[in-house]
Amino acid sequence: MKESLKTAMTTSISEVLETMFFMTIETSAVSESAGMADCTTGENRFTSKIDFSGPLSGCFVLTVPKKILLGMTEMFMGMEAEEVMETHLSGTISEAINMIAGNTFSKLDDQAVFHLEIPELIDMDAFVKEAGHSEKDNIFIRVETPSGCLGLQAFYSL
Amino acid sequence: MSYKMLIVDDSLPMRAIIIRTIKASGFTDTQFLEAGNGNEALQMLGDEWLDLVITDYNMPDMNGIALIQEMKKDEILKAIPVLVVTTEGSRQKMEEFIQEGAAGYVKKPFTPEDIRFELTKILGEPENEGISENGDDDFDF
Repeated sequence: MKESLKTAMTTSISEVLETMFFMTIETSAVSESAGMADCTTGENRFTSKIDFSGPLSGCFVLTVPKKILLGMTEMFMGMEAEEVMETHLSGTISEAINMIAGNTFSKLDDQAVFHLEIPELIDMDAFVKEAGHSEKDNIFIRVETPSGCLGLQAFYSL
Repeated sequence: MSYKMLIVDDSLPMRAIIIRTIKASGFTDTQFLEAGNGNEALQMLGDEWLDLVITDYNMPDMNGIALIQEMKKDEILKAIPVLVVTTEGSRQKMEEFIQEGAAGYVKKPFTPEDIRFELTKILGEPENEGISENGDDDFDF
């Protein structure tokens, strides 16, 4: 299951970023926390989480540096940088995680029904400290772009 | 021919890209209304005639299926075609959209061709073929 989910996540984030945001990316699955830290921690990052339930339950978490998210929002909404407001940035990352989650599950098993909740912005540091995540299986996908890296994580249990 | 469409999605960025994509698909003479969920959409539908409703599925307050169900109960609104644009990917959900009366569905992420194909199926070929001349809408086809 873990390998199938990892493959579905990798394909899905590539499709979403390339199709909807016209980004050129490279993805790699990272198991060590050392490979995650520079993509998920630090200032000027936006993090969105979407909970899911069904044959698997858990959540996906997407972390994007503000600089990259600004470019994604400009491309997505057809706006100039000076027109982009905080609500546009939060809306863009929420829509991105929503599409990635739905696309992942349709690739994992299009016969199964997964329920997706409404995406929410979170504080990654606070999320990491919450109880329960360490007990779940965890997948991390590192996404390299010319402007920096993004991180996509799944925390799930059967 | 000019059209009037209602875009129903709780995501402002998604509403924006759907509108840009439709314009770039050749439906340039189209007026757009926007709603953030099914309840808002129903209020707008009561006020004026629309040629097409494009709705997301997963929204707060009233989701896309509930919106279609409410429209189908109304003698006037049931004639308006509904296109579902959604992240839902399961076959079961897709069949449910059609059974409830959706005229079609597009899965996110979508290409401009996906949107154009469904719009043409429902409304016919647009009068302005190909790419919009507006520089902001220069998607590739």
